[in-house]
Amino acid sequence: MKIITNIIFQITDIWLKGVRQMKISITNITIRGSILSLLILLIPLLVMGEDEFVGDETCLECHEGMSETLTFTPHRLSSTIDKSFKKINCVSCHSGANIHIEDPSTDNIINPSQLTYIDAASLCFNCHQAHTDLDNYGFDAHVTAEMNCSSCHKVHTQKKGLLLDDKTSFCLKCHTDVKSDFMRNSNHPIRQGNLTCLSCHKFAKRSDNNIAYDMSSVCQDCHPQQSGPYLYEHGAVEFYSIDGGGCIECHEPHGSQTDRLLKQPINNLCSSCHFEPTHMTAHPDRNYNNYSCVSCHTDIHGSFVSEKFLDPNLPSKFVDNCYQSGCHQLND
Amino acid sequence: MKSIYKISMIIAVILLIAGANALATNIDGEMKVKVGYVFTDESDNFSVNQETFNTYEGFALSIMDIQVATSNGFNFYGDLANVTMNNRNMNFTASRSGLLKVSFYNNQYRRTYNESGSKYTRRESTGINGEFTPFENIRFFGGFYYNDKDGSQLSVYRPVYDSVEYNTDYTQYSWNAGLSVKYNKTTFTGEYRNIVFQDDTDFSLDREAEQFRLNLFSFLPTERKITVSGGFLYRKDWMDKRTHELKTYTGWGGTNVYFTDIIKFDYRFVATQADHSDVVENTHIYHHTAAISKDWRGQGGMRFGYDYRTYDDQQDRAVSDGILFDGWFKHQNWTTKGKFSQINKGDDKGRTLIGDQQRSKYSLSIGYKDNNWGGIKGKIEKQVKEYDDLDAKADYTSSSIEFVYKYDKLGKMVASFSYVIGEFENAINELDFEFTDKLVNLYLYPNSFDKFELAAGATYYLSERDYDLEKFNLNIKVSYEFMADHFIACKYKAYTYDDLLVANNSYTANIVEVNLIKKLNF
Repeated sequence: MKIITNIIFQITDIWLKGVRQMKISITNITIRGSILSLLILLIPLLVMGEDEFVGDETCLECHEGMSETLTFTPHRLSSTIDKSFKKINCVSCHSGANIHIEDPSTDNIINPSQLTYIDAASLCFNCHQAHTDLDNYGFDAHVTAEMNCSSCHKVHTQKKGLLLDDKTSFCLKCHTDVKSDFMRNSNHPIRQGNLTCLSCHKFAKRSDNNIAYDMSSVCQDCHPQQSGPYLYEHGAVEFYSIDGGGCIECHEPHGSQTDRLLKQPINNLCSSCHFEPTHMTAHPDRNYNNYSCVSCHTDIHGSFVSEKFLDPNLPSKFVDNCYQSGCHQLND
Repeated sequence: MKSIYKISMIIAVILLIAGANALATNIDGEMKVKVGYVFTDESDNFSVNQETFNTYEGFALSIMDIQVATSNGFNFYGDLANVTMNNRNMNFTASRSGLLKVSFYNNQYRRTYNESGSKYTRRESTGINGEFTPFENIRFFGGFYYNDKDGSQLSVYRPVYDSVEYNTDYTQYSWNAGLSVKYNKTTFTGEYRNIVFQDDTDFSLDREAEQFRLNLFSFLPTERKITVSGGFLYRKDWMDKRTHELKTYTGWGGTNVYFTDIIKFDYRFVATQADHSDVVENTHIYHHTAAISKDWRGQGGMRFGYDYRTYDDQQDRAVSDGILFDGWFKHQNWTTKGKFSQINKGDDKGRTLIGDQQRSKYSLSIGYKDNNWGGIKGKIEKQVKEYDDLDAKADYTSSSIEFVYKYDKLGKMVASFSYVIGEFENAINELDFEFTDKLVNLYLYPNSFDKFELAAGATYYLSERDYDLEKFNLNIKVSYEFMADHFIACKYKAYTYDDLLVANNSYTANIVEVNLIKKLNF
């Protein structure tokens, strides 16, 4: 596996370099390799059967009023539009109508809300291509047998996004344990309406999103000031650190009692990984206790000048100037 | 420059609306126009209560719940909240099924840093994105977005509140464009994204990033239900004024194989390589998860899985393996869910900074739902992280219970209680930290009486042990329909905040909104 992924990495890197340097040639092995990769990716195709068509007017004879529930939604019936680009009929989602009109019963017509995930996805993904990404990572608890598209969406509703409820309280109906997090001192402004759960949890991909697997990239969308690349990087910050870091190693993204969404007060937090004997013993009067760790280590996300993320202006910062006493150098 | 981008986006949306309406023979729609005034009465420390950071006093105009359908197939949705104020929050979408969709958003947020509220930063997020489907199986998508933040701020970390003021002024622009091709049950997506960060306080911090993504999803044409998915992402971050560069390559893939309708096997992998220009060694992370699950249609299910990861920077190497289990069970009105996972990570070669780790997570929920009167639901979750080499441990337990009661003649009530305990044993024992949080919520939604509507909610939060602070929030909303589709609405919000361990850390606010609302139907 490692060898295969390494080969893919190298091919892509060479290909992108080639594009950038405008050294593209059809005989170039990297271009041919890329075309071959695309073809391999497109191999698995499936031919799908179609229902015999039953018009909307037939369905609406019994299911009166159902068309109106779709008026303001993307599923508006084509029969109510002057000219439609995509035919949307009752049977687009509810197949099996031929038998159902002979023998009206809930058992002989497809109701997407009653399908398992795989069958519902197979139906809905016919049109909702962007949602196919939902399945890409597979670590998502929403892709399980107990849930399907209808667990979150209701088609016959006028609510935005066809969600069962408004975006925020909707998620908290199941994730009740997160509710208290948003009440804490420092929180992401969900309750204020500036963000929704989907602002960060982009599992159902839209055209404006970023990759969800890399948590740090999601945070960088709104907090670019803290992102690198730096010359000296704090291992706890980087998702690719072998220590398994990332923003949420130190921050509690929903809410925290501590400023800046920190999991613990700053000095406690730093001490969960760092034990610095010099900080504890060199000054018996514990003068440093009046400062937070980031009073000196200001560039805690990363630095261009200090391996220990120290403030470049540190010498001028303290009255008792640590640097003029001869004990400390900036990169000490 | 920023205004030009914003105005261009608004003009594009207006042109689209005007064009669609001009071509339509009939328009069906509704919206609410809200005009009013927000009165604020705040006292004490303005920098402690986050819920009111973004509150302003003044004249407010909002156009809410916009829903328009034209006879030529266009749909418009939107909420334009507080258009006349600095906390405006707007989103608008125009779409035509099967052809195009364009969305626009703009919202602004203020964060206050000092007691008087004079030091603050403002963040503004604006974006427009869209998709166009010229042929049934081909979809183009893309967008342009910018985040802008400026202002002055203070460091507000305990144990001291640093009085050094520093300025923030940056803008991040990004755009993306992509193509999605679908053929039968296979969808292939390619996307390019470019991100430019400009720091106006220090140009040497300007940076740029670009990324390229390929995705595939397919239902395989076999008798068994099999899905395959996979993709690849290349991202490069670099700084123009410096030489630092970071390249990351991420490949992922997976499959779901349904042996029968009730037994499924799934496997996923993610492989990441990071190359940093200032580090000789590359970092490789490989992540594999495989699981088998069984489902009893609508009654219950369970899933067992195994998780294996390697982290390798060529000097040091760590390996983790873990197990995961989740299950659910439904019987009549009862639903029970449970989850458990345990991951052990250890150094295989060399010595990582954190060393050996064990992470475990358990959760159990049980709920009863009755369509007549409501329901009750409880959940308990525990997460434990242990770092043997550091002699550190984080133990986090949360429990919550929610009760919903409906009575046709009176209305609906929702009450909930959460209790959270956090205990952190740090490498320096003197700096261990612990807290308990208690949260009570109560919401009342009485039935409308004559032409009056009332809704009320209250929240109480208490954090104890190493902290000692409490917050209270009360919301009451009353509206009266004085003419057909004309309402007068009044909203009252009260906030209190008290930190009993830090002097001058209290806050009180009374906020009143009075609005005239007209509901338009056309």
